[in-house]
Amino acid sequence: MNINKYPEIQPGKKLIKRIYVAVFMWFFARAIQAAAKVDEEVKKEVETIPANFTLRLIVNPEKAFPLFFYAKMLPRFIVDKGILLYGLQMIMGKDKKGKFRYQGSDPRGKKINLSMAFTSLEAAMMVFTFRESLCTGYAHSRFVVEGDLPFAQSIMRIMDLTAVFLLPKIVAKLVVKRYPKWSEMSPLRKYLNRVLVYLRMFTV
Amino acid sequence: MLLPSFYDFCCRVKTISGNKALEKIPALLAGMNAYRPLIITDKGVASAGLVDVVKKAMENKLKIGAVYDDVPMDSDYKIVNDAVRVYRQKGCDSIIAIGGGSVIDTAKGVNIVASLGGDNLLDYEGYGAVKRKLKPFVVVPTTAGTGSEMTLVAVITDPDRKIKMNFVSYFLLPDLAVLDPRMTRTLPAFLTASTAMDAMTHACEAYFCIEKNPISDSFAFRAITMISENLLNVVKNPGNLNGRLALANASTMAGAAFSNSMVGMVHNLGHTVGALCHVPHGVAMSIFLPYGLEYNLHRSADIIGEILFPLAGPEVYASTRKKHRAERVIELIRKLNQDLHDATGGKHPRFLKEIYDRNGSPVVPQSMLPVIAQAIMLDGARLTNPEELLPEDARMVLEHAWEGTPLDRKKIKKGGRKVKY
Amino acid sequence: MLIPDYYQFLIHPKIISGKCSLENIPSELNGYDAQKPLVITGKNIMERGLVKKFIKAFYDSTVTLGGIFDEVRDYAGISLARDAAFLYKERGCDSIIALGNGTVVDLAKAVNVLVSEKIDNLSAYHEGASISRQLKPLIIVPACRSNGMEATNVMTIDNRRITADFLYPDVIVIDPRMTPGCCPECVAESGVIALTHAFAALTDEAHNPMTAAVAHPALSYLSEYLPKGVTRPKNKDASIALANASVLAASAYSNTRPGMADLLAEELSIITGISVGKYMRILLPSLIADMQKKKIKISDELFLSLVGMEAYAATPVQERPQKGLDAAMKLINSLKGLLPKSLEQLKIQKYKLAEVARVAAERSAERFTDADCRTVLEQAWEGSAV
Repeated sequence: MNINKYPEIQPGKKLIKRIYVAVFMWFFARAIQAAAKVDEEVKKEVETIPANFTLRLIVNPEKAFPLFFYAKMLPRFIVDKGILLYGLQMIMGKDKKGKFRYQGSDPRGKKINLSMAFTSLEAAMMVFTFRESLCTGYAHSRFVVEGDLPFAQSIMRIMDLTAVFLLPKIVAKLVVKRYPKWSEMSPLRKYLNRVLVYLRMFTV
Repeated sequence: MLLPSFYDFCCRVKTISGNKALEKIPALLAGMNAYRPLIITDKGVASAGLVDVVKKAMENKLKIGAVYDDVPMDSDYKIVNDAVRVYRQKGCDSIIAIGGGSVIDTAKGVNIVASLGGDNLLDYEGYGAVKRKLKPFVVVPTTAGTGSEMTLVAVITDPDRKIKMNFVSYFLLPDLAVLDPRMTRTLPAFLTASTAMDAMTHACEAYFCIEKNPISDSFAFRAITMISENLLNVVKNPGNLNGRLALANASTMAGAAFSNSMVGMVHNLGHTVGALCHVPHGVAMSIFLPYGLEYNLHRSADIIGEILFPLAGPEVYASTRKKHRAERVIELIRKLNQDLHDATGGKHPRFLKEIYDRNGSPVVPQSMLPVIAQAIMLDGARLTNPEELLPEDARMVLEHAWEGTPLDRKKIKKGGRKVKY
Repeated sequence: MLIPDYYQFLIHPKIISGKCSLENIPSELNGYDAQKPLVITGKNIMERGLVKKFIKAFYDSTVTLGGIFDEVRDYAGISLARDAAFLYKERGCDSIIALGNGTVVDLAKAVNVLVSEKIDNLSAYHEGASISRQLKPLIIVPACRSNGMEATNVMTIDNRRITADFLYPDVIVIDPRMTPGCCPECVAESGVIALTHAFAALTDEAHNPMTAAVAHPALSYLSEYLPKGVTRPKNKDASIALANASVLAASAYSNTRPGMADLLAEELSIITGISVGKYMRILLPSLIADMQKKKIKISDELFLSLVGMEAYAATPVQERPQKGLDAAMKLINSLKGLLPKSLEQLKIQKYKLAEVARVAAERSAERFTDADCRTVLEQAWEGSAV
């Protein structure tokens, strides 16, 4: 039997989707960082998280893409060593001063307390293009949460609130379970925070 | 029937059920090349004589390696390591767990270490540490409620670090679940009531929470039917073996349903109350179930309405108008709680303020409610609830559940779009 | 609800169904510590371009496909299995994915036995030895035409059956990119097979709550989507629902005893080599007609599954079992002229029926008599019930 008739197939790459996810993660992480600074409710949630807590959002499989060539196609400000060596990751942590900050995508030398791992790039795309909300994504096993599970709820809440600030109502409604009414979140707070979050995202 | 846009379902546990099910264990174990099991159980089960029942049923056909009956109320990793030592000393090749949730969880832990080698469970902490088939593992549940025999999770505490470790893998699922009414015959009436309501909650939540799928729906549907047909009867006549068998079946089927479609706010509140005030799980479930249904009513009224069919039978379903069905479900669950309360002579509590400990003092003081409400953010079942649940919402629900009054519907916050399955 | 005095139940495969589910395969394989699957598929699937879409699902993963063995046609034999096993070993694969249905899955199961047990023929198992060891992970991705045996613990190699619990597939992935049917006949045939299996599971006297729970969604999907599926085979919703129905019916079927229509169709298929689906289309209506005539008592679960809660509740109690049979009859006759309507059309000689009836009655372990089988077969020969 001639086995060369049935060649081995190496997995290919989905470049554009990877770039989208990389950019999205960068923006999202910066937005959470900004929201934690700006909004009282997010601040309160952050306070419940212990100091030195580190969160990691990752698209599996890890290390699948230590790709240098696609780094050229990413915006300059996103590229760091981590993304080149470890693929799509977003690491956020609470530092000693109690600030919740984006820490790049290099997991080396960090103790990860909570990890949210998307099972595949396609699964990450489902959530990051708002086709599935965070909760639906969780229900459809698009990502796996492991580590200090008790704090996962706070993180989800922070992500939901950030989405409300970042996105227009019509999109945000796809992402969160319950869009806050005026009585829960005054329009003044919402729009002011939206402006501040966007400003801080790009400046600080 | 609803076709979800995505679902997964896995329940690879061979279930054997019947009045003589225990007798089949030796042959089925032999089919998996296992001849010398370690029995894991706790002191309560052993002193109730249930281990002897199992031993007698398997007499002459199987040599039992050892009986390990030191499992405490909360499964502990040191106990797991200890049991593994016994397993190895006695040259066992399989595990039989006889008992409720903590025994089954401990046995799952023992199976990990005994199969994969090493002598410490902590080496296998974390998601995806177990990647191959473990030793043959048989579960004989004795409570007809937890459904742990169908779940892929083992929750084991580490008392040194004061945390609960989750071990999750499809390989933790037992190979066999044995449902035999002899195992639940001696369960006292009030425990029968609360464990069956636990199973009822699993089934109802599996039916209306966001991860529902056709197979889990169908399992939940039958579980609800069997519980509502048999529960009161069994509580009144504890010797009704056919009813006991039906409840055991219902509990396992509800377990299969909820382990695949997850649970919602009833479990969220129940876990929290259990952790902070030590309310028994089944009791908390039966108290919160009507509130859980009521809270989610505006999000999935038609789906909750469908529960009326298994709960009250087709005749009531047909004679109730569509828009009143969901309300009727809530009413009937409340009535069931009331009936159980009467049938057990007041031992089955209806509200939080009715739970007393052995000394007669209330278990959930009203002053604890704000603390409980805040702590709901530490439990994962919040995510799969159809409606968002935040501490202030939880506090409102808790206050009503404490008093025993129906929810004030106007206070429930709305504003989401339709739930997408 | 009636619970039998004793029953066993197992549904081994993990079922993943819906959008974007092919992409879950790498993480499922990872759960088994497998990195390199061998893909076994059929020529027709290759030609329809499904394999290309399938390969795309593995982009951005660490899974290397050890090879795509696409030689399977309408017959699964041991020599072909040996070839695939050779490829598996040469490439150092550690798991198997079967992309397709029927013979593809049978072949994949056979290859799995060959490579896991390190043997080169199955004669020991044909002679009654049992497979008693964990095999390699086997993932099934159903495409269109199903023979109803994919999700079961049965494999048919060289027309001989082997049954063992270890032959259950580990994961079944139903993805809308793979399931759309190729032609209305294919869809109709798979639907009829699923219907017959689920029908057998629910009309068996010894059915238990768990088999009923699995057969219920299968029948609901069939009654809702089969008429739509045969008119629009490419429809994604219908094809996903029917693929689900197929898998669920097979799961229920592997936990019950085969019904009369199944047994007769299998015997006829062995004699003539025509697929079981065509026979089931003819046999099931005659079986139902026979049951109606004899007023055999069946459970009302059949009616509930086929028509749903509303219509079930609106029907008086004593009429429900009979109405269930009517609903099944109506569903199968909604296929109209897609498949042959009588055994005569399929050119079965009438004298052969007696032999078929005898063998089927023998295999049924005295549940059906020779005469019963004969009556059903003769009616099917004329096609009067269709």
